[in-house]
Amino acid sequence: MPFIFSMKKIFYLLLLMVNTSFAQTTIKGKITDTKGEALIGVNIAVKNSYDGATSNATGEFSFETSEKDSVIITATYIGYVPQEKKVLLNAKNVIVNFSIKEKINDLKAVVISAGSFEASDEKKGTVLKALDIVTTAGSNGDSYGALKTLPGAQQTNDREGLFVRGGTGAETQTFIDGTWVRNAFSASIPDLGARGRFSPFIFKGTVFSTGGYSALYGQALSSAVILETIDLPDRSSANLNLSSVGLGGSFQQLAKNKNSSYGIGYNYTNLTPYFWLIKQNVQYNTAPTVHQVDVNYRIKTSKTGIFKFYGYLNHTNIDIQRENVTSLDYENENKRYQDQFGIKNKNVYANFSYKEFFKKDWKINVGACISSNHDDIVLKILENGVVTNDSQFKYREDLGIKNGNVLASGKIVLEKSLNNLNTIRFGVEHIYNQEKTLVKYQPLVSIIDYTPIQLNENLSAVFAESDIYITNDIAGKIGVRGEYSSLLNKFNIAPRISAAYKLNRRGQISVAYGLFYQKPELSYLFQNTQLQYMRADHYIVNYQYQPKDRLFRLEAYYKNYTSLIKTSVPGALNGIANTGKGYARGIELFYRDKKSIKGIDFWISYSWLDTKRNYLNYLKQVQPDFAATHTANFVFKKFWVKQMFGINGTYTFSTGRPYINYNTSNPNDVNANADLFMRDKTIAYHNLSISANYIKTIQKAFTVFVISINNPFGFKQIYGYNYAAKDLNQNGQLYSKAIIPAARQFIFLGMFMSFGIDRTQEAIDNNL
Amino acid sequence: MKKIIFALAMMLLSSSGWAASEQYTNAMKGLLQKMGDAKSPEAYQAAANGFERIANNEKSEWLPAYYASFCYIMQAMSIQDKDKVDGIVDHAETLLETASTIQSNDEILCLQSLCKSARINVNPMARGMKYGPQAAELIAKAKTMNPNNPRVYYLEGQSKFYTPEAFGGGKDKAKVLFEKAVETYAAFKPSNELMPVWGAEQAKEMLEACNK
Repeated sequence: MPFIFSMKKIFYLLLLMVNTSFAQTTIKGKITDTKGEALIGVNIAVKNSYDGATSNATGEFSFETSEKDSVIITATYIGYVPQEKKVLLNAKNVIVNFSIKEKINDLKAVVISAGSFEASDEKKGTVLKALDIVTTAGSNGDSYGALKTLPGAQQTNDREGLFVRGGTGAETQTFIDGTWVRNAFSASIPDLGARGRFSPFIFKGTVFSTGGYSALYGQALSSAVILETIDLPDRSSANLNLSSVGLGGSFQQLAKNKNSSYGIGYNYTNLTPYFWLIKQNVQYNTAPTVHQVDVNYRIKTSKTGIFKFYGYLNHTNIDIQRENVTSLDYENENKRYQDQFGIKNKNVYANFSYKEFFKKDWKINVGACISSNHDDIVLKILENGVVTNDSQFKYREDLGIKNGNVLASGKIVLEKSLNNLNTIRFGVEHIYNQEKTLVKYQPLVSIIDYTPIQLNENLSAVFAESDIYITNDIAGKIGVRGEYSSLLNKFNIAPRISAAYKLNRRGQISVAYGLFYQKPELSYLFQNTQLQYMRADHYIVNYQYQPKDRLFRLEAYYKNYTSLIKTSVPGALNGIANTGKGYARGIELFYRDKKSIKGIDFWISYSWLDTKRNYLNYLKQVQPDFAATHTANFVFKKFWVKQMFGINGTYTFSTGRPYINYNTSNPNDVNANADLFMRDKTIAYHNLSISANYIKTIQKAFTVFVISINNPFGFKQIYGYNYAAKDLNQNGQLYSKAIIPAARQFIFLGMFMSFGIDRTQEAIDNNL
Repeated sequence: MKKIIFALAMMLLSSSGWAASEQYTNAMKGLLQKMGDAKSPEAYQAAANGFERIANNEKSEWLPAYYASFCYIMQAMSIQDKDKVDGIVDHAETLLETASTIQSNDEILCLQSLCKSARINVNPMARGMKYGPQAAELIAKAKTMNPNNPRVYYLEGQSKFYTPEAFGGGKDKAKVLFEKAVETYAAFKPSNELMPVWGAEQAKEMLEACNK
């Protein structure tokens, strides 16, 4: 019987068990975010059971559970911090509410956009995609050309460099994978502008900073162009190109294990046939002729690490002849003299970079760069094809200049990720730079070698920067950079600070402030090294509104320049001192729209610039000769996917630039009338560029045909005027000649073929 | 009495032992039904949540995570706000990563490939070059693992169909693949009732679209 009794006990126990498993509790509640907004789709679950529910449109949920006593309820949702709550199931209905917090993540967090335009495919909210740089009409495969369609950039196409917000071309510097590029522009002829040396195809990301940039970069007073090279290619390929200006080929080999790749390419540019067909405004003794060999090697050093090498050898040769301005109005037309300018340039560049993550939340970036550049320049004044013996031009009629520079630099950046995207970055940089120049006067029996000048510079920098994210809506960046230049024997400390606040889902406001220092240009340092850093203070405020497929930006800034270089300063060594100053302020607009007109992608940019400076030989503080008050661009792109045909266009307008009229106010004249200085302005600048491309697979080659025409309507473009050094006519007026492009129009025809060596796709197809 | 009690006890005990897998199968079946009926991103979210709750409890089953991921991909494909796609696909890929640590197979590879396609959808012009080859590689892997999986051909056909001819796609190439897909779907027998069967209808529809 006792046994039976115990059996009975078990029986009741079993019944009880059955009973309990059918006792249900209803759990109800509401899910909101930290602002109290209802969240739909949140997963609510009882831990260690299948029971749970999904919140509805009002954030509410309700479900039954057979669990008993104390349970843990979890609320999880993509993009939010998961939350757990311990709940006692002691009643029929239990209410559990959750208020969950949005994770700070780079997809949602506000991006500081003050002073910066970014082209990238990987990052969100960028103004441009990597491909936009290439497909912008008028850029002709030059990254800087595409950047000139953005607000802040000037259309100073007659000079080398990118002129930004009242800054000179020398105040914009280029950085590749973190390191400074000494010779970013190719060898060029005075007054004809210069192209960027680097093909836009080797970069996956471009940041064009028009001010207020990061403490990681220095020695750029106005602007920084920060480029990031591509990683391993997706497949092996071979490329061929043939165009109206040259031909080239390259191949890229991806290792079988996809861990490394190497590539080599050769490009030959020669404009002789083109100039033979289309007449130029200057006479070319040697049309631009360029040989370039490119090499690259990239290897994944681990799952997260990559080492990259990119380098090239470049040889450029150009020789031109054009009218000598001083002799232009010289009594006898037959005696009209010619200026010859020839340049042979050898340029070698090598960039190494290494990136790796370690100890979970640390990242290291190492960059190194070696480059060397040699210019062999010939400057002659010719009379009937031979060096003149007219004493008017004594010591200027036959000069040879040899310029050279060597650079070796290294940079290490350590980055520590804290929670919620907060990051601390710090590092060191060292740049060794040797600059040489030698001038020879050649026509004499014994050539005069002027004393060669050599400068050796060791620039060291330390920097630290911190990204601070308070929520997804508020972020800041605080940085500081310290530099020491051995050449100037001076330190500088430059704080930088910026912040952004998200006003709503699409709109945000950001601000930036910073100090920027730069050494004076070489031509002045060669004459005087007892100089200071030039300095610019930037203040920027930016509003950005970004609905789907559209982007609107409005930016206002103020810049104050001090310690600019002045020439002809009494008492200073060679007349050069840091007594110049100036300011720039402006408002800029950018609007890009891919949606309003179906299938057409366009952008409009407008810059209003108010800038004055008193520098170099200026007689007073005045709008400089490289700055235009109003600049506007209209860029459009249209691609017909079905026909694989596209048209791109760019129209650019800018108001006239001031120029020095040597007849009314000659800065070389001690009695010059300062009131009339730079009063004259050139005509407004108009330019239109149209390009069309057609994509076709020929055999196995992916082929792109391109035709582009610059200035098809032949708008007259004048950048300024050159004046005669002397009045040989003796009528009291110096002769002047407009600075104009080498030709009104430029036409480009090209064919680019790409063969994928990788046959995996083919193999798959054959296996069907 | 003894016997009865014993039998009852045994029944209850065994049923509780069975209950785990029966509960799993029933819950999965219910959710598969829900997934099949889903049309909106919200409905896919609800189904995904259900699968994830199971996945959190059944650490040795790859199917719950697989289906949760499938629901997320469908959500990513149908959602209006394209800004959300990457976040959703990131999550889907994490789930597939978990699933493949339990068992790596061709079905998971198919979904991993589909994740890449979902990313391409956000901006085909800008992203096709990067994710297209990755999607193709994953499918190729799936095919070597199991050449009889019809979804391999269906997905391959899809990517060919939406790739312009100049980039190696086009209707003609897609058609061959959809034909192969329809053929393999007809021959395909899932090893049990919970195994993936999706795509058969869509493959037929796509084949028709190719013939138009």
